[in-house]
Amino acid sequence: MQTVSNDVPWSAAPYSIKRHGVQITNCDSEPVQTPGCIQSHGVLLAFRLVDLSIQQVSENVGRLLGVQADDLLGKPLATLLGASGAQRLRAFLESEPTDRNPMHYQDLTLGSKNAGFHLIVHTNDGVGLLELEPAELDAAEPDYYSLVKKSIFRLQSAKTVHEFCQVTCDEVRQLTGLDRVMAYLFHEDGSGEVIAEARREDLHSWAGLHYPAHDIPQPAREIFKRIWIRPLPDASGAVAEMAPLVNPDTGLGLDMTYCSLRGASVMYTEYLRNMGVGASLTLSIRHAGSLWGLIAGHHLTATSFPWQVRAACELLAQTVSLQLAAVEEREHERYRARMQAAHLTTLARVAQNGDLSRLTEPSPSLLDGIQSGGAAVYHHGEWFTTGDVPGRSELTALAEWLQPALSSAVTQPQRVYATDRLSEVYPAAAAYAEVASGVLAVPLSRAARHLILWFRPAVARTVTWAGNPADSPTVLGPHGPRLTPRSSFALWQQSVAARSRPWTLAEREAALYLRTLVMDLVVSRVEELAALNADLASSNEELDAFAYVASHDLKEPLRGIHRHAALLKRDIREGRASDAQAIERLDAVTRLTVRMDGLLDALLHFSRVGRLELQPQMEDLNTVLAESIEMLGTQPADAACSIRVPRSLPTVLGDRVRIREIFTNLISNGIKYNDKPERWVEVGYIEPHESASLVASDTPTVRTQTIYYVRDNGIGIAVKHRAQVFGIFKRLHPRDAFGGGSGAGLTIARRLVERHGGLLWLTSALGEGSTFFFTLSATEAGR
Amino acid sequence: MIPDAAARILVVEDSDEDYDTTEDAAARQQVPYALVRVLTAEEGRAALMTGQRFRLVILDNSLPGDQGDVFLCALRSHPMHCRVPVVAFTASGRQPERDALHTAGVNAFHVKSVSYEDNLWTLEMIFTYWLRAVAG
Repeated sequence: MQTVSNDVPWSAAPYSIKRHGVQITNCDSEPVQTPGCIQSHGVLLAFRLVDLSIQQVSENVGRLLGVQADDLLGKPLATLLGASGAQRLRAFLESEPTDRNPMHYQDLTLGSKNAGFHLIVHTNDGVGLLELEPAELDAAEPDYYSLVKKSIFRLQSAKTVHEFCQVTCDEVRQLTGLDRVMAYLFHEDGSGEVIAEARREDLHSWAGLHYPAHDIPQPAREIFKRIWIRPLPDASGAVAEMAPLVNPDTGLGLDMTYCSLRGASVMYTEYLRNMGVGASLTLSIRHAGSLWGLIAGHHLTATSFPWQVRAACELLAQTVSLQLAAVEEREHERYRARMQAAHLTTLARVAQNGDLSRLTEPSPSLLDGIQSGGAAVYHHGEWFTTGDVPGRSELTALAEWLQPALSSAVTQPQRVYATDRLSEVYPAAAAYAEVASGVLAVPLSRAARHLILWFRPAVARTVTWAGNPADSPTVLGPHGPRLTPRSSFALWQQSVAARSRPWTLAEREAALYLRTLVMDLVVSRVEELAALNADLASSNEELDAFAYVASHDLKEPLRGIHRHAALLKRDIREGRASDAQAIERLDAVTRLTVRMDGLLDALLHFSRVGRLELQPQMEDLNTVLAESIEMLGTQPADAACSIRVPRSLPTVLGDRVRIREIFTNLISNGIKYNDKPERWVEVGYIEPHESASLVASDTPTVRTQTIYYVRDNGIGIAVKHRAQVFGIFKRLHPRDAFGGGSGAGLTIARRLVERHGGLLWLTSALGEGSTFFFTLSATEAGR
Repeated sequence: MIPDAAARILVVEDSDEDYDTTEDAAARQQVPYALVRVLTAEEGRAALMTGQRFRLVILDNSLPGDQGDVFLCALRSHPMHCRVPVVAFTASGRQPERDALHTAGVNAFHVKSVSYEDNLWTLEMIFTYWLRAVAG
């Protein structure tokens, strides 16, 4: 790394793996890009691009090529490659994208030993780097192209991230022949988990193994964001230092980021050796610029990774990285859909009777939505739970503690409370960390007296360490047992003792969405109930007033009956009742019972009008009006009266019998309360688009409906009495004036109109006449 | 009791039977004033304008058109009649109606019974009290 602090041994001099020891404590600042050394199975040359002169060469050049470093330094590459070799290299560099991109361009027999080499070249910051890798040039190679093509095809059919990683491991193992290939996923906290594995059958599985974050030091992670592949064919192999250590042109240690020969940190090689691993091949899986995970391949013995294998693996790593995003998104989508479906089904059950406790009933229950070990709903002072949850009193204490956080979540509707380490913030939770290390909480009411909690158990799982000798080192390196999977896992377990799997964004969103749905449901039910209560209260009040008024009106004839009966009795007792007087009294009683009967009939009719279902049909109002007039015609009072219909009435959807009664009531009123020599009643309508002086500005309805009216030239109704005329048995005139009547006609007419969804109101000028207006809004909606 | 021969008792009552009962009570108590009956508040207001003096008003509140309290307001704001005792004798004893009458300045409030004897007794008590016990 570039950030070299003063307290590390390599702060003063250029770094070399060979010269500077790395400790566990300082491996996070090891300059792994400029290790000063290479793996000694190949040779690395650094050359000047302008004249192809050799600036640096690895010290093992003598052993592998039989040429001394001193004989090469400062010399043109042609000295080693021959004129045609140098010519070919120059041409390749000029034509191919080799910057930070190592490319195999030629196989050559080199040096005094006439050994075969693969030649791989790339440039980095103006420095040329040529890697020579020993090779059997005549050996037949497998068809890597076909192999990779098949691998990519298999990847495309994978449906889940897990399956995808499994296929990747299988394919990499196929390509490389490694003993073990693992897919290693980085979690948010930097720790790693083996989520898929392909291995030699006799090896013990490491799937499910977790590593603490520092097992892969930061410098290594940074490098894996830039390279696709990292080969280490011999973990126990020696390293060869570059001569000179500092590049003469740049004055810096040679940047070997992209070299496959780059020397490995001793921490890493020791770790591998402790595991009994002889070779490793690591591929990076990147996702949106960050390191998603690694494909880590282990071989128990040293091996080789020829460039063809590496190229195939590199292609695979790139493909995996590209496709992973899509697979992950698909999986998230499926998970989101599953959560949503479970929540909606659960909620549908709740909606039946508004009882939130039904959220925890199976099945599906809340547990079938957001993945969790248990869930609890607090509703009306009671806990309803499913799955593994803390005890009731613990839940109540937790809810108390959550209160402030949840209250703020209510005011900030985008928030839920989520933690994957509850006992760190709420120590009491340590007692039940096994079932509830993670908590996701959403309040369902402002006071947070209603809430839903999801719980996740502690994540630490047990890995069975089998006695496979290949897994345990026989001899530990200088750093002791720390650099072994066992202690890594133990350390990781310690660090996550009371942690759960973290809650993902999708899960928080699902919880929020559920909360919105529940609150809508609760609110709508509350509103429903409030409206119902208000309705009930007002109809109770109405009923109360109505019953009171009605009963007193009914008592009036009763008082009369009582009076006549009492007087008759007294007269008889006193012996001064003549037959004629007695009959007169009894006639009065009879008359009063008839009146009372009339009142009771009107009352019954009124109550029936409120209950009866309407039978709406399309009705021609002209016919309905004609029937109504015919019924009125039987009454003697309307002899000298004309009924005018200025224009033919429309056809409406309504209950024929009821509309007829509305007309009858209104028309008979117009006829009865009329002292003009020429009485008339007009029946008409006003369409919404028609302007009409007839309709007063205080029309109680929006002018989107047809308004029907019944107008007369009668006595009119004073403004102060306009509301009263609709009261049951309320009369404006003494009983025997204007032909009498029960005083229920307008009350019934208004109720009939209201049953149709309409309104009935009136305008009037005293002495000139009244106009009753009504709408039948149900008919409008029906059109 | 020094009867004012010219004074009358005004009865605002739309029910014939109830008015008859009032007459019965007046006869039994030998009330020395003639009864004047009106059926509505409207007619009652008209009666106030005739120059006729009233010794007592018996007021039914449930009337066609305006309620009894409307008439009472008119009476109380009439310079000639504003001090006449007004006794409500009405079918409904509901609080809103009592309140309206008391606000308008009623002197007493009685609820009608179904029983003729009870009503007779109440009316006789009214006449006894307001015409004899209370100084006119």
